[in-house]
Amino acid sequence: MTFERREIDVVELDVDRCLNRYGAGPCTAGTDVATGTSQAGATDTTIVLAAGASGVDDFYNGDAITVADRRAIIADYDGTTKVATVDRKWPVNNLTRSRQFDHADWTRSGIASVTADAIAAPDGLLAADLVVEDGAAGVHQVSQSLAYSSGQQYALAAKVRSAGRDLVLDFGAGAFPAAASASFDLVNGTRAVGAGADQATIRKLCDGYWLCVLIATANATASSTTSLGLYNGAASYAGDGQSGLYLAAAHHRKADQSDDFIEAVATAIGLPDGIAYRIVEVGGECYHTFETCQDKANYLRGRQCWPFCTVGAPVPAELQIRPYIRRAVPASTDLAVEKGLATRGKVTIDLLDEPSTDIEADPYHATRPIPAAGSFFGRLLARSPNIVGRFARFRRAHFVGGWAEAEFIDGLYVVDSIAGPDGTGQVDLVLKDPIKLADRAKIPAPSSGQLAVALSVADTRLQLRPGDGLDYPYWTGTVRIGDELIAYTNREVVKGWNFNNDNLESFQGFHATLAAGEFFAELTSTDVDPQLWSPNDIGLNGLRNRYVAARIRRTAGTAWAGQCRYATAAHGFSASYYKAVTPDPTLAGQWVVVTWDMHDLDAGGTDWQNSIVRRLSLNLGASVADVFEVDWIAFDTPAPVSSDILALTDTTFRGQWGTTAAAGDAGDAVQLCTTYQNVPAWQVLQDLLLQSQIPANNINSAELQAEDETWLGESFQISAVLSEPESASKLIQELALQIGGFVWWDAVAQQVRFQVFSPLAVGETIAATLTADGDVVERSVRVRVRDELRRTAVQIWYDRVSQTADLGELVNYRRYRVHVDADAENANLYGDVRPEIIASRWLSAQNDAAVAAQAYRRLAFYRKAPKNIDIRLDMKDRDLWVGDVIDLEIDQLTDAAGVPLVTRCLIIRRHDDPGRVNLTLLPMAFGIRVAFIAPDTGAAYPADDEYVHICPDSGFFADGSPGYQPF
Amino acid sequence: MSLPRFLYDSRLADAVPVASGTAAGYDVENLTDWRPATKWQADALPATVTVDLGAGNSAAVDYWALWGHDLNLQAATIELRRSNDGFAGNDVLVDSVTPADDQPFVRYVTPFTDRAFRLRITGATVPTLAIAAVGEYLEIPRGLRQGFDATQRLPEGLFNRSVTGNPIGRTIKYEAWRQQLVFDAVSWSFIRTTWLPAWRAHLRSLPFVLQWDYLNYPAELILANVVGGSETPTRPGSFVTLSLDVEGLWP
Repeated sequence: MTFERREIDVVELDVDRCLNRYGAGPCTAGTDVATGTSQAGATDTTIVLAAGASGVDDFYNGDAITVADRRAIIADYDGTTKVATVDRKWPVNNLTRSRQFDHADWTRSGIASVTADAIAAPDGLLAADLVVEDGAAGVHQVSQSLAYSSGQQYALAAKVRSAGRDLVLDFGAGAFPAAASASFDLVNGTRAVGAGADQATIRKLCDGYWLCVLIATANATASSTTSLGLYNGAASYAGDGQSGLYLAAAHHRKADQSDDFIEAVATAIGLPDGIAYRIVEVGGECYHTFETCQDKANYLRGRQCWPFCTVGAPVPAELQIRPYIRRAVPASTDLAVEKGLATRGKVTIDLLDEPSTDIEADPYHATRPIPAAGSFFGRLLARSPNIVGRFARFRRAHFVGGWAEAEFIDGLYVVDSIAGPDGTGQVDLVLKDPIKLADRAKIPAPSSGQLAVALSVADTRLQLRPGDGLDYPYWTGTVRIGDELIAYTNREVVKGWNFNNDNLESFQGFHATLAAGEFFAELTSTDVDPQLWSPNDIGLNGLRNRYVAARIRRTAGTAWAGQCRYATAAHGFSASYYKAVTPDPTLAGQWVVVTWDMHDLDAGGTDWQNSIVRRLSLNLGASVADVFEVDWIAFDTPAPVSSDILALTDTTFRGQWGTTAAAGDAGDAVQLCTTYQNVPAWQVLQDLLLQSQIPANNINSAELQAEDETWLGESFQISAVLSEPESASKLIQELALQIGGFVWWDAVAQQVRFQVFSPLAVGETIAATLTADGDVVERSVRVRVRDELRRTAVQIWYDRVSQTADLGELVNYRRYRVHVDADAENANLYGDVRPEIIASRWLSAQNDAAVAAQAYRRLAFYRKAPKNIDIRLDMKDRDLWVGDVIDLEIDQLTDAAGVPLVTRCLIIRRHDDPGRVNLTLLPMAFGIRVAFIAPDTGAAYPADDEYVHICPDSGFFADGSPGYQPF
Repeated sequence: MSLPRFLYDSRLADAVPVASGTAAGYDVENLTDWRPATKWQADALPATVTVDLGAGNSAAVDYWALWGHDLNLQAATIELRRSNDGFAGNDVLVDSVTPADDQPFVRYVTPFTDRAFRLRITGATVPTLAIAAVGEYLEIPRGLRQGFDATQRLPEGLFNRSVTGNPIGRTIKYEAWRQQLVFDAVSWSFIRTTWLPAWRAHLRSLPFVLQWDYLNYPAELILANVVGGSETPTRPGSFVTLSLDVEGLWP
């Protein structure tokens, strides 16, 4: 057992960074010295300028030359030969689609799926593809066939992150000796080099990524299948159909060429022959930030990750991490079970500053007329004033020996504040968990629309101001005007399809299957370009119908084409006529309305406006993994007339959700509402989190659903309307509390989690048993009795009279449920009256049973004052986290006779000091004995004592007594 | 005990160093910034880093040093080379080493003066270097005063005991080394002609390598920083007592 550990912290700070190079297409910044198209004859470090380039030797020396997205400084120029020698090797890439592993250019073997753009790549673009193995035995890889020359040394590299598997790079047997490969351990950062390879390296990047490089020498002039494969102790193994890799980019070159990853798309990137170039002046470059950008129209936001580590950390030789962390204090979220939503977890970090060089931050430092002044953080904050709100990762490890990547525990946060440097050279950085995003978000989002004309109580058309209509869904929605809620059935449109009642409306799928549903059609991709085709001869006047809109929900995949193509008498579906909506506006599991402005085509000019459209094709996805549900498709006429009218079927759609139809004036606000009608509580919580802009992959939806199904069920289905913008975190807190659960950010799992405050379910285990003898640090125990939380009665008001009535007035609720603990109010016990009154917007008449259960459970727990127990542990117990359940045995928790009790506790807070873990525990004393009833298939009592046993199959126990009955 | 040496002077800082090739994400200028966290890695082997003072210029060298490297891990060899023509045709091997471990090292060579200097790395796998220096050492003409603790370890951390007194763990962040270097009876002329120029040029603001006993304990090196100032109160005769507080971290 290890006694001593070395505590090391690392912070990875994501700072915005433009991914374009200064003056290199599409960036237009910089002052031109010359432009032209290069001639043939480039080498790794030269380019042959146009024949018309200057004839004066050294004429361009010191200037920058950009070729596509490559940039170099001209070190020497020969006016006679036009050859410019540059200060670095030209980046090349022999692969195609080097960041698109879902593309057909990559041959798949043993791969179940490739999900395009699954997560952010190291450069910040949502561009890393998830490659998942199939369930068969064999290799699991993507590959390309490349040509090689005998005797030449080549390099194959990848930026990759584990999704359960390691990586193997392999040049293949065709042109290389056997085992020209290497495997890379993506947890520990080690590699094993095959006998036929020359060398391999692996280097840690930020955000869990690794840079893996394989170098080998070809022994034949031939083609070879060069692969990036999944590795599980061997390159060939039986897959599980679930594990995989995130591949962000691949790079292939001759070993002595530049190792600068450059993206190749349709064709490989070779030396700069016959390519347009710019020669630009140096010295006035940007710093790759929006603040310093000189061509903001072409700013391409990515990220630069800055890693910092503890002062004195034994950093491996190949890692560049600035040792600036003087002190880091991570304080977890506080579950605050009584409130429903945990307080935000945070990490407070004291960073050192120093007057360092600017080499890593400024790619143009070598040509600046004046070297950088000031300090590292002073410059960073001046160039990037928008760090607040960006992601950061806090990593802590306790090494037994040297640096060990596998020891790090990673937490995801957002930057809450960064201040300094102060006069002592200190920078104060505060990170908070991403639920902070919900503090800033409003639900529903504020609408901008207003009535254009007055509204009478009998009106069934809401005329909005010109242009306002685009903010409202085309098909069904609820709006609030004054105190009235109105359910409109559609924005007025020329033609539409709604796929109701299993009607596919003569639509069909191409490279996809199309299935009918009760309320929507489901388009399931069978190829990389799934398309939804309308019926023929729809006869749509393109001039009068500017917009095409569809309400869609993505249920699988992440790839997106987003094109609306069309056919006319003059042409069929074609890449020459389309409009694309980018970036991908879809969110997994969420309905969105996508609108294509066909008067602003990406290809085809004004063709739509000048045509009668015969047929429509929505090319939604871009991979075989994509599945979409389509609720409706609609057109409307050019703005503003009919697209700004919200239409109702009749006046029964006025005065909805308990409100009364009322007249409105021109200028009245028309607020779009968020509505839930018989929606499971977990889905409402999920929706609130998604509307808070918390990414879907940072929400533990599976746990949400499981907790709902185990502890809540149908009696907790929600029907409610949110009709005015309110804090998202307030709404989440309300709902979680009223369904008896709590929501918190699990920094280690990097997910929002939800649990119903309940005993352990059967099969759930405790995380640890802690004792005073071997675990709890001396003089650290403190037991706090929280009498302020004690209750003698719980009263829940619910079923609002009107969904726009004042939430705080109890007269606006039709029902209440109350549980009173008369014993507690008796003078011989507590002798006071402490009711808790809850007014619920979420619960309605359909939730009677849920309200009763909730009032009962809540009073049962709070009839005695809950305790909080503070203890301190050594770092040996660092794997205990908020939300874990432990058993605790200490002298301070005893029975009436003074015998120490083993007390089951929920960890509700964790706060780390250097070398110590401080926990706050909440004893799980539910006030009643609870248990699950044993299934009939289990073993009999006492062999299976996890359950309550009703009775044997006979209906009687061995002593003849009858079985128990639930009361 | 030999006289202590301060290693900071470097020809690599006299001009912009030029690498044969650099791996993406690294920069050859990181070799000369005296920061162990910023590094250089070549893109291929053999690799060179060259500084050329230009025709008609020359400078002296009697040591070379590396701090923060993995030459042993990567099984690489590093050479110091010199040239009188900027390596156009003249290329002379001065010293070569294949380190037996990845600890920092200082190597002394027969003093020479030349125009250009080069580090050349050979091997199969590219190593990474943090700090390189090629220059003249500064030797203090007096020994360290009694009480100097070369092997001091000051761990920053704590020790935990359980409620019942059982030891349950110890956590450290780093081991520091903090000393006051005191040299008695140093001459006025040394202070004015040697010490103060070194102080102004480097020692007061940048880390340096301290080798306290190059003869008996040549591997006991520490990358030190001066904390505070350089104090030189006069003593009888034309002497001073030179003292400065320094600190460093054990790797």
